[in-house]
Amino acid sequence: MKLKSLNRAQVEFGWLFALIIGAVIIFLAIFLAGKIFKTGTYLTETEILRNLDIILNPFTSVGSIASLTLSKPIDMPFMTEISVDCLLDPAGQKIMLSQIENGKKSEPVSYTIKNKYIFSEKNFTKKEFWVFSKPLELPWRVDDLIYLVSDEYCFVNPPANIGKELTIINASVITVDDCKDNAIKVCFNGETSCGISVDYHTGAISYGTVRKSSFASDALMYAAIFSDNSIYTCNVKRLLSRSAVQTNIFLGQAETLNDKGCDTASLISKLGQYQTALQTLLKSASISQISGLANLANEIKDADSYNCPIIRK
Amino acid sequence: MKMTSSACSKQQNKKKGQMKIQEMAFVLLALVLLAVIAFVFFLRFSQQKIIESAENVKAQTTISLLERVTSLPELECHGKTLCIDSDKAGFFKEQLKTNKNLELLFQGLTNVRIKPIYPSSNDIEIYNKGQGNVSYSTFIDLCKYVSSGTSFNYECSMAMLIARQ
Repeated sequence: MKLKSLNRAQVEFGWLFALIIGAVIIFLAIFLAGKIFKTGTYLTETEILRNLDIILNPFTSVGSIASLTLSKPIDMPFMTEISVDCLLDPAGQKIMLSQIENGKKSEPVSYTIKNKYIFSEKNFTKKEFWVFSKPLELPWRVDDLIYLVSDEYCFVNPPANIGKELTIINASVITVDDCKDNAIKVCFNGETSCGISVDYHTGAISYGTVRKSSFASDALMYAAIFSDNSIYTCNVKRLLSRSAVQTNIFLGQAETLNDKGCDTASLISKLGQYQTALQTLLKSASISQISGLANLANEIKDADSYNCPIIRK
Repeated sequence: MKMTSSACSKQQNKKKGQMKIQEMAFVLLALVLLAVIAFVFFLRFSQQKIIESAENVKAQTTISLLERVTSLPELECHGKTLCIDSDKAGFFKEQLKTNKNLELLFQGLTNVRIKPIYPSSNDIEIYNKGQGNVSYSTFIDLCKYVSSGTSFNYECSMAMLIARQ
């Protein structure tokens, strides 16, 4: 009797042991598979983010040979939520990317791009978005601005040069005059029914009835249209700070040329005034006075010597 | 005598049980070892793939940044492409000493230098944060404004822009 029960206990123990170990093995296998899948997703996202940075590099150098790039669509391998943030100290733009599959969002990966000026909405979820760039010339090429366009825009009655440029850009998300229902209307004639109103001559832009911002060139106008206000203001500050350093370099070059016998006295004086204006703008909280820089920039262009030009193209 | 036989069978059962547990333990140990070996192989394979991917990204970044460096407004010649103004490069280096934000322009690179080839002269080191282990280069014009009578023209030499990562 005792032997029987001992045998039964042994069999039961064997089953119990096998069940526990089996459960542990299955749990470990599922846990590891989950971890490996998560790591795989994280790796893919990191690779995509770094490749996005690489893809954007040519858009930042084309401005030295052309005034505008053709737009290119970026087709992500999956529906992606992209968040863009702009930081002033340390300067850069933090891009966060997360994959959305079956309505589930993966853990986001982030990367800070420090050598580009990206203008876009703060958050957007798309599989495809458009990118193009335009150099900011104030008065020289400060850098090329990159625009990530995720929504549809329709420009109503734009100035002839803007209309022509938008036709060259040839992006399916940007139309001129022929507006789709869901497109954000950008008007230039003071219409109130538009999402965005632009006063091209004074360099003012308003979003709905609220005044949004100011711009000093076509490149900054596109930036104000296509980007979130905080990203626009932050990037403009970064650009002004870069412009201040460039002013010092041009001042140095103008002084050297003056010493060599080329008359750059007028240019040196204008560059000094420009530097003061830049410093004032950098110290102020808003950038509403930026449109005033356009006049000074034109004066610098005019003062550039014909014998040894360093700014005017 | 009866007692001895029951004790003996108990002893035998105990031994059998111990053998079974030992068998199972060995099987489990073998299974775990097999799983660990497979996992180590998998990790090595994944690591190799990640290293390859990282190297690829590094190379692509350096190549794409070479073009960007030659077109930096702080360095580029007036009205010429693939050309660096040596005067501007000198002033840029001065600015780099006082303005750390300028270093951000070379994000992804550790060293950028210009090596004049013809006529040969000393290298111009634009940015230095180490020597790096991968280097890529491109031919550029290295120019300087010189006076020729009443006008000024660019006098250029052939150079190589070397970027390291």
